[in-house]
Amino acid sequence: MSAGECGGIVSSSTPAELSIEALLHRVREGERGAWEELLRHSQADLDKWAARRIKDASPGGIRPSDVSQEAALGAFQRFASFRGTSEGEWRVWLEQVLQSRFVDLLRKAGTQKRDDGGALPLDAPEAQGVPAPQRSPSQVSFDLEEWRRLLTYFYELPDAQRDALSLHFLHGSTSVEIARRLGISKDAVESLWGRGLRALRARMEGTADVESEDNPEAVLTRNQVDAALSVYFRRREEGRPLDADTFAADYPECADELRGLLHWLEKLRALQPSDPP
Amino acid sequence: MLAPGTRVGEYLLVRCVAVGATSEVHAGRHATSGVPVAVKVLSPEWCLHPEVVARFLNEARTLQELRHPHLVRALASGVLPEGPPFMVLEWQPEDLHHALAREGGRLAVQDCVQVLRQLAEVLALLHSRGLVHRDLKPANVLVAHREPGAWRVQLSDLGLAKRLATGSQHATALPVSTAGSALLGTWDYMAPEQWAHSKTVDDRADVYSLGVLGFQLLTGRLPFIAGGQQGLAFCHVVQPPPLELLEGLAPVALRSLLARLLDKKAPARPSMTEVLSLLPPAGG
Repeated sequence: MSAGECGGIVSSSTPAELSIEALLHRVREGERGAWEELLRHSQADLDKWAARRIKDASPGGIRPSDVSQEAALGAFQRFASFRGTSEGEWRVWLEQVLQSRFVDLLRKAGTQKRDDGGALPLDAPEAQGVPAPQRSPSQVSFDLEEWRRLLTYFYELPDAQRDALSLHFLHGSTSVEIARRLGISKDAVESLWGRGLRALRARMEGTADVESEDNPEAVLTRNQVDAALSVYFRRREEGRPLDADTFAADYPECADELRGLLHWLEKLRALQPSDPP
Repeated sequence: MLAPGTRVGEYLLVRCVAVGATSEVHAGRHATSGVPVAVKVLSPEWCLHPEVVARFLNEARTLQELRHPHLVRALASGVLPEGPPFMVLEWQPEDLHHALAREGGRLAVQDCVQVLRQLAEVLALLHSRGLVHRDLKPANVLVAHREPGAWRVQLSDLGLAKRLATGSQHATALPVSTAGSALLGTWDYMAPEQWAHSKTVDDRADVYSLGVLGFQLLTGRLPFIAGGQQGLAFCHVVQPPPLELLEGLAPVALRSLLARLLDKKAPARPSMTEVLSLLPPAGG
């Protein structure tokens, strides 16, 4: 399915008030206009979920409408991976997509804040949302909540993944030292790091950490990301300076996925408060 | 605050001895026999919060239902004419926090084992009734007798106690709910899972807190010290406890037991009944 194929409206023979289940079926059948109708049915939910995340604050200048639009686009792009048939399953999945896009927007807003700060004309409506030089109370609150969630999800990782990540990224042990301590190979240590990071990212972004082995594209991307992560980990152990965005840009075939994982890796490294015991 | 001389049931208030987060504790005495008691009264400003009132009433009911030599006894409870609920408790003039200060911050091994065993006994009783204390700390342990080799303590303050579903065969507790992210407990003694999901902890959270307390009694310091809530959360969830500080202070069996009590993962910790069987004899 492509964006172009989704143009138009539901044919006049289609009842105006189709159920979500019927619309899901029609979208899968590739019926012209069904996707727009499905989104129209879900727009109120998207707006409500977006508003709930933004509330009074506007972190990074993001507006609720940005979040719901991004979620709609994300849902369209990822619809092939949605297997549900009921309204309940659709709403849960759609909110997960919205959460994922919301986190992406926040991340991008953080990058723009560094790269493009001050480039916005003062009379632009968006200027109202430009972050102040100091973090606002709502941003502090958001950061604290994110930190607390990351700590919680880190704690809930399987023991081996948590231990491997903790020993390296929080306590500075090398992969060889960790391999010896856990009684596994160095490759297995890297595998634990990768799986742990994926699980953390999935929990933080509210998406499922399950990729179908039936989807060759997903498997290919996963393998590409694993290979790139392996390079990243080795360079890091060699003490070479690494910028996550620059590094990810060298792997265009999986840059987005890689950037997402490295983002949470950096967050994990910053998990220890600056006021250690 | 209630004035000295106020009558509370059969008791008279003598003086206010402590003001807690939600309640006041008064020294009192029986109006006719003169027996000293402690009278705990819910602070008026909290009486409009059904949640807090329910906790208070649950605590009073639990303390009256359960009888154990190492659990503070509730002699009476009720509601004052002015509205606040109250409970009358056995009088113990000192808590473990202050007793520790008088002992120089730490205890000899045999005294430490005695205190841990008594607390493990009463906590095992609570757990068998489906109750989790959730706020074990020196300030909630009253000292009835303080003498080398003959310590006697009583667990108090069940204000945060949680009734697990498995304990529902006993008297029904008033419903209590807490905000999703509310942290319940005292940071220094809170188990890792309590930081993550304070509402869903089970009896192993008390086991962890007992481990923190045991570590403190032996070494004179807490296993984790940090500047604020975030730092403490990180330590309890991620950092290994400094067990090396126990070397030379306690026999191997006790050190091994404390290491198990302080395990980051709740299922890896022993039950309170196992703790009792694993505690070495008080003699060393």
